[in-house]
Amino acid sequence: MPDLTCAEVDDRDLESGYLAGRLTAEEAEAYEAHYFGCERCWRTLETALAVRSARGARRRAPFAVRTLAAAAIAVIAVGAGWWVTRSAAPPVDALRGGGEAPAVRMHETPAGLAVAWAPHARADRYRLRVFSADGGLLLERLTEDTTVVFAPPPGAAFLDLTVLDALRAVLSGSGLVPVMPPR
Amino acid sequence: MHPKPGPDAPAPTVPPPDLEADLVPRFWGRLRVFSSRRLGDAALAEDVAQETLRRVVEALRAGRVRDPVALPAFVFETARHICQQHVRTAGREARALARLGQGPPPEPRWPDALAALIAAERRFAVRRALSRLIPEEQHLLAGFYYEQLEAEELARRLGTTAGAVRVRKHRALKRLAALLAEDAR
Repeated sequence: MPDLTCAEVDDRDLESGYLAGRLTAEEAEAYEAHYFGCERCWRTLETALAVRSARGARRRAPFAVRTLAAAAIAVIAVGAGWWVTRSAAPPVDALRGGGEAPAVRMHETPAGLAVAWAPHARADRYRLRVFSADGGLLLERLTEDTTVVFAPPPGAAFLDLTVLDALRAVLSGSGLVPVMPPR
Repeated sequence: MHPKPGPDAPAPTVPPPDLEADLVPRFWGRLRVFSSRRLGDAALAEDVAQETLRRVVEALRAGRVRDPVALPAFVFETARHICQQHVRTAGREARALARLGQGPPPEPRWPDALAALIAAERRFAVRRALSRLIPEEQHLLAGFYYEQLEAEELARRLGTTAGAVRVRKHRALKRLAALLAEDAR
């Protein structure tokens, strides 16, 4: 691979691809040869590495493990059309930073299925993800609100609510919660 | 009064830069990152970095590297060679273990080696510096380096272009580097 220029490194975001492990072996080697000789690009990588490492290593349990954890969930029907679900034993990886698992409420509206939760004192954003039973990601929303409305998925599905701070570190999480339609 | 040198007088000699004195500050960090990625093990990466610098110092003292421009490539190739030797040795060990009926050791992981490159106290300083950036810059860096999103995806979420996102990223990184340098004083 020909020598890289700084402009190519910038245009292709090679430092973020490198840190994420997204580059091919050839690209990574060309980038390494470049930063060995380029002070500017080395400083960029060094700072990016500091940002990445400041958060700590990120570990996610395989989907199957998280689904089994969600199977321990207790479901309580409260009032007319409201369902409150609370995870009995949230997976450890959803609770970095401490804090209780947020309680998630669901109810049907004319616009779709509404999922709501209480605000968290230190939250900057909430991330709601909905998965099909086989682990496919159906929906992902990053929001400052405490309610999300979406079309109810066909078939069995699970949702996962994560509370994030301004640096996107996880403050708490619901773990996997079944999306349950009214009977 | 000193006479001016004639046209055939030899050019005054400039002492060569002290390449050896510059080696560790210039290449230590690079060598650790490079080796961590290839070997997936922060401790082994440090061993490789040390061995690389030892061989480069030997080469400098033997006069095998005189041109400062050639030094980075020489350091890079030396480190690459040492990493390849380690990978070959690990491969032989894994095959030997397999023959003895023992499974190979777990694969080393780049993300874990990456996390180990920055000491705990430094991480705290980095988080403090990050919190001093404006929220937009914090979100941008989080998008790139925590969520590992690509520029196009971030641009789509922010309603702007990938080029604009890259420019903002570089500005944020530069500001962060300045804050870290300020803290270090």
